[in-house]
Amino acid sequence: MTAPHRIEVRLDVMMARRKVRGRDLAAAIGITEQNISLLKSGKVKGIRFETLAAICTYLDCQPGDILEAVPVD
Amino acid sequence: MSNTRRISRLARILRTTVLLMLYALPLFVIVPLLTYPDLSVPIREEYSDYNLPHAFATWQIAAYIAVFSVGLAILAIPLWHLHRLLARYALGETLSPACAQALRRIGQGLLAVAAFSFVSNTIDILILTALNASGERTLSIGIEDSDLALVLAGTVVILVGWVMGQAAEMADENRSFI
Repeated sequence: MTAPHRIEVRLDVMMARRKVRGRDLAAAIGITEQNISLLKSGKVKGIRFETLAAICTYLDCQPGDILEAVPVD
Repeated sequence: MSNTRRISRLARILRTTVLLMLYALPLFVIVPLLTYPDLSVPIREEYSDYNLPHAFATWQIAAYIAVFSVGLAILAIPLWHLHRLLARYALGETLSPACAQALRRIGQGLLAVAAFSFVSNTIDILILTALNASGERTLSIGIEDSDLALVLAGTVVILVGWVMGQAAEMADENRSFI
């Protein structure tokens, strides 16, 4: 049996690669900057497929570029 | 008109109505006191099936009014919680733990009203026939249809309150999804 994993959000890394600001991403996908900040810091319980799809479209990436499963220490 | 606005608008109207009912409750005691010079008349009309004495002692009338007032005070409890619930609805707050708790309190209040209604009739008859000659005093125990309806309504409202509690938890969890 594999060790339990948790999901880490790598949105900030992807945004830095694409040189996208939080304000622009928020405006493009129709959510608040505050929610983008919460998402970047991983302080959310989940992300809707709709939001994830909008982020992937804008950043031209895959969900795996934004979310990563890492083993729990 | 969106559903939220409709709820808010109707809740505001109902909240005012319930508030007026709360303010009007004492009138159910005050108006008969001012209207009837002899309160024994309406009491006799209400309990015409029972063997009541020709005249009531002052303490009997006072005790009857006291029991009636306690009933009104108990009725005020669910009305007060209904007022609070409607105030929250009017502000657009529907799926919250506070609303679920208010619903449960309303249900519990309705059960209390039903329980007191069941007991008060017995107490009233006992008070009004207390000075009858030995053997002519009455102890009446009975459940009316309205009491059963109140028990059913109260239980259902408590159940809905529990369900709304679950809904509020789900809504809270949903809010933490982006």
